[in-house]
Amino acid sequence: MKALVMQPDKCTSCLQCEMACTFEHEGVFNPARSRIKVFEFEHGALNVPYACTQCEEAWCLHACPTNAITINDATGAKVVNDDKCVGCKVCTIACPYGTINYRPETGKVAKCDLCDGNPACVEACPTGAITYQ
Amino acid sequence: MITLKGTGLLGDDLDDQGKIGRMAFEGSLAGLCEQLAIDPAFAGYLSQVNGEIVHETDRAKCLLKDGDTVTLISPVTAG
Amino acid sequence: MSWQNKVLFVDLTANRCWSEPLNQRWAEKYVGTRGLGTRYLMDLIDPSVDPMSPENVLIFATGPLTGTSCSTSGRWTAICKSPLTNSIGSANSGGKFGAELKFAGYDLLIVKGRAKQPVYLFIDDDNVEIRPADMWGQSVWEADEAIRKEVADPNIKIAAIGQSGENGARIACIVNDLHRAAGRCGVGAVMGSKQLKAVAVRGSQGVGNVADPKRFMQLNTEIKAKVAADKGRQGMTRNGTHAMLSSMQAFGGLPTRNFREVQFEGADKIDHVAARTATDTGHVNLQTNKACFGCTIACGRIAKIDPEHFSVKDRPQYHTASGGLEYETAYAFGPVVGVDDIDALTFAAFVTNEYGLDPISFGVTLAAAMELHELGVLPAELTDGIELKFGSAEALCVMAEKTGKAEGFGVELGMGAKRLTEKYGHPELFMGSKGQEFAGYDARAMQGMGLGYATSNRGACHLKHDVFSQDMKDHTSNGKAEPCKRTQDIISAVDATGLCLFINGYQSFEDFAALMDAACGGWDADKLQLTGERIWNLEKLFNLKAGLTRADDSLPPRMLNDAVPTGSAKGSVCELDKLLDEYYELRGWNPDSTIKADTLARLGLTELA
Repeated sequence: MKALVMQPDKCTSCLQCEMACTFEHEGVFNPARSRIKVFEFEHGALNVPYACTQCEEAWCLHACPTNAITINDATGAKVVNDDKCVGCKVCTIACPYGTINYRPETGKVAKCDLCDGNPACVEACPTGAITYQ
Repeated sequence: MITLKGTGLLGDDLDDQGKIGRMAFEGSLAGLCEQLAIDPAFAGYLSQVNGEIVHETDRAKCLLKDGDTVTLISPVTAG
Repeated sequence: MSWQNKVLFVDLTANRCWSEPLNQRWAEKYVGTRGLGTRYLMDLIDPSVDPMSPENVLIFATGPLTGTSCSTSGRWTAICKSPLTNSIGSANSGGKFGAELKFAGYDLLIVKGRAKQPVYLFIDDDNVEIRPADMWGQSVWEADEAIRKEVADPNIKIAAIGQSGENGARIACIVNDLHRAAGRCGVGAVMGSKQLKAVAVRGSQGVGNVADPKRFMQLNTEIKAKVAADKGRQGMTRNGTHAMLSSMQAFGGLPTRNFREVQFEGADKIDHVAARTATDTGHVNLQTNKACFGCTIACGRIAKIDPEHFSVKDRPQYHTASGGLEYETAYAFGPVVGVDDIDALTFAAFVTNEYGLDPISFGVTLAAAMELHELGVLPAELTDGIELKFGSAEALCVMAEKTGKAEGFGVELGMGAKRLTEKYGHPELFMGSKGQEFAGYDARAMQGMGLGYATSNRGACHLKHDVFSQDMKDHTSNGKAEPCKRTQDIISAVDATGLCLFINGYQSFEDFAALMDAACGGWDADKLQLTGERIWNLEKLFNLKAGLTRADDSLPPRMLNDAVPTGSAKGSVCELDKLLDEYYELRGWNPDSTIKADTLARLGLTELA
């Protein structure tokens, strides 16, 4: 299985990944709703992109009472099925990394789904800080 | 042998190509610029030969000799 | 159309906030940032108003491409009447603040009046609050931290002023995201005059109304690939604008010791190579590069000061990284004041960010003070016991801090070089135009730059025209007026879109027009260039109404009379009068610099004249 690989030393915090993510999933440029986030430290001397690690033992999936989170067999991504998600937020508590988040405007949770094997953030990154390998 | 230097981004570009430093060359400054295939992005409108400015238009008549130091000056855009 | 179609108004006198629909007719005509903002300003104030009075209005303006996936989409502009120049004040910045304002749903934020007590503005989409600013009296960096704690949101984006702006220093800027700045024209002083410490914004609405999303994304992919492959771009990423220093040194246009000279013997100690080279003690100044929002160039510098340097010894708060040297900061803290100590330069860069000072104006004002000191007019007893000698790293570091904190002689430096040199009886030592200090290019060695400085609507500026390549090919004034005029129009349009001038070198003007067309519909390069010309003339109209005349399109006598001592243009002076006549003709202006009626009609500006 391929995974998103982040290299903080290459990240300039331009947030092209966050725009690509939200355009891919929601058709808008909206970093506040991005499933991948860049964290800045020390006045921007260190910039760290961060998204769901697609844990093998996915706690979000096990915690979900409605079985709304399933595994995409092709990519291994843990995917939220909107028609089943009831917005109980248990998965957001179960996730040790804080990479599955509740969206008040939809009443459901959202997380990285690896864009069905063609991650938009990887395409958008100008420095090669995010790769899919 | 001449000594080749460059300023700004042009200097870095020539350095990356391993061209900065001492090199064997015979001919005019125009010939040198042609041989270096200076990228238009860096232009190199002006040069210094042994500290004296040589304009682009005077390159052809500027003949280089052993021991000369040539500095190519790059106009990168504003800062 | 990628405008948000909403303007946020804040009246600090009435303690009231409201939003109004964006004037679509103006958006079509003036696009965004400095264009659209100036149009609103013309509507809201009398251009003859005292810039420090509550009647002045401060506008934070984005453009239609701000906050989109175009490269360099993070630009915003602060617009007001300038207290430094009494002309249009217009200061462009990057970072992430501008895009966040757009994501909160606003094209423009317009601040009127003056608060009774110090306040800051909190914007969370539609929730807008005027809050007491308990952090008044603190630096930009302290205020940033205090607000971040108060609102408990690590992702909030903040634009703030330091003590200099609070105290009305006319060279104060607005700093956003800790080390990006709307630097010029004293916009920070206007913010201070309104008792507005900061604007803190969080936006979650995004930018989603692109006219033709498919074409927009396709264009972006193509243009970004072109930008990525460009060697000039690669060089900018690696070295930033700092690389210009060694070129200007070799060329002979690097202003040194208040523009008496054009080459600096210490240049190689403070250039981009020095910044990335380890010292004897193993310290490396340049840590990494950093992007503004959406930028695929990332020319920003992040640097560290050697912890053993006198400026920061025993001051651990300066031992971490922050915004480092770019060309203009390197020039303004280096050659123009004669200092060749890269750590001192970097300290001055940190401190001007921390306290909200325009580095260019500060450096050139200090240079004028140093020349006054040399003349015996400013002895140490008048300058807090510090000898303001050219070359003194101590004077640079101490005065940067004092000016930032508005303490002692720093209060006088904060007034800018024009007022300082007038006060001490040597107005000829002010190196600038319309009251604003010159950037790091000599106007005699570069005639196109001289004309650009003199005609820039916001006072001396190197970023409102682009005659660099012509100036470096040929040091005469021949053929310089036309590219100066043309590039002023193009850059006005580029600025107005909300993208960065620096991408202009790697994507064509047609690319800008195509992006505008895909984002907003109905744009081509001719229309965009005409819009740029309209914006330039709109700013000029503001200045004419503010009382400026041809006499304000001026340069100091040193640029007009004293020949360049060394370098490629040795012997030259700036032939400004000749250039101005040619330029006004090209602009369709009268010889007294007023705008001809048919020019106004052609640009659709008659109603404003």
